[in-house]
Amino acid sequence: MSLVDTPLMKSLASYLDVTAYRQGVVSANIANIDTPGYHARDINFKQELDKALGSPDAPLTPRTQGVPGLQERPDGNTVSLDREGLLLAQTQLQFTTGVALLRSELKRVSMAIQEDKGS
Amino acid sequence: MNLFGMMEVSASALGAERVRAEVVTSNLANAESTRTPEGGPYQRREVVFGTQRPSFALSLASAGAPMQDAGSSGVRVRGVVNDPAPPVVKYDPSHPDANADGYVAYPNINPVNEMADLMGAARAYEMNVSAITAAKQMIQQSIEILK
Amino acid sequence: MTIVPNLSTIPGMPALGAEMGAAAEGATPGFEETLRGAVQGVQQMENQAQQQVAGLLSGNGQDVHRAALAVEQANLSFELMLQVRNKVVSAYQEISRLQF
Repeated sequence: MSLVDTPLMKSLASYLDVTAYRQGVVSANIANIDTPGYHARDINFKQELDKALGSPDAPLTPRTQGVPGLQERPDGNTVSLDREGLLLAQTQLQFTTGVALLRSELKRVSMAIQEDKGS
Repeated sequence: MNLFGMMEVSASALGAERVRAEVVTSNLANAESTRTPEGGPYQRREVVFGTQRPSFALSLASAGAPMQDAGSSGVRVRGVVNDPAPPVVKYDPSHPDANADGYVAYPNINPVNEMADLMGAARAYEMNVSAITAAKQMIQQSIEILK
Repeated sequence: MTIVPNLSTIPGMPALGAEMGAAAEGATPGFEETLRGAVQGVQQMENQAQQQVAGLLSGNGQDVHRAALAVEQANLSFELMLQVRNKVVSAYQEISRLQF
């Protein structure tokens, strides 16, 4: 009986999983800004999210891909600090939003359980 | 990738950029050093970076977990090497380090390049600190789920 | 070490559940099923939470938000079960008052 594990919670958990993973990829890009020959990577967020929503309890196996359209510097590195910095902030905001929505859903369930205490 | 591993990746970059900054400052300090204990002028040095898998990823891989991927590796200093470029020679017979023909060998260091390198290292360092802060905040927010 | 309270450590809980089930069955079959369902739900949630937290603590790449969610869900499940039990107990008492 999973009255407590609502579909919305499952979706939000998957959303948080994919968001956290993307943040990891962004962090790796930033860490390797000066590594010769390193090409910036990213995931297709929408695709990976759809995949995760389709099988909510399965562990994530996202595919990272190279980022098209980036300038390659003389040392072979394609990481753009501007792009990664923007993604860092954006992904963090996405995570914050996901957690807030999850907490509100948990609160809703909690209140539904408590509701009849007085009667 | 989990949030702790992410912090490890960013932390590896902090270490690497710091080494880079140290090497650059050493170059700057020795831009005019015509004599070293090994004989000859100071040889310009530079760092070589390479990717590195965070240690937990290796244990995960050995446990058979599926999430392995070159996109999530940290960075390490593969080595600090001497710049093979020959020293700059200037004609100055009165200099104490002048050779038989009156030429002095100076390190092949351009302070402008070194400064740009240093600024690059500082900016990268700053960016990685932001990444660590972001990961830290995400972990803290996750904990707040528990009220 | 359990982080979420283990049902069997609550004194009299299993016995109460069985008693409630047996007694309520005569009055209204719905009570028994609901209570049993709630108890099973808690067991399930609790196991999942323990698994997730163990994964987190052993540094296996488990994510904090997953573990936190699982623990919170186990807590809510437990709350739910308590509320259902309270309802069953009070309903039983009301019914037994009727039987003169």
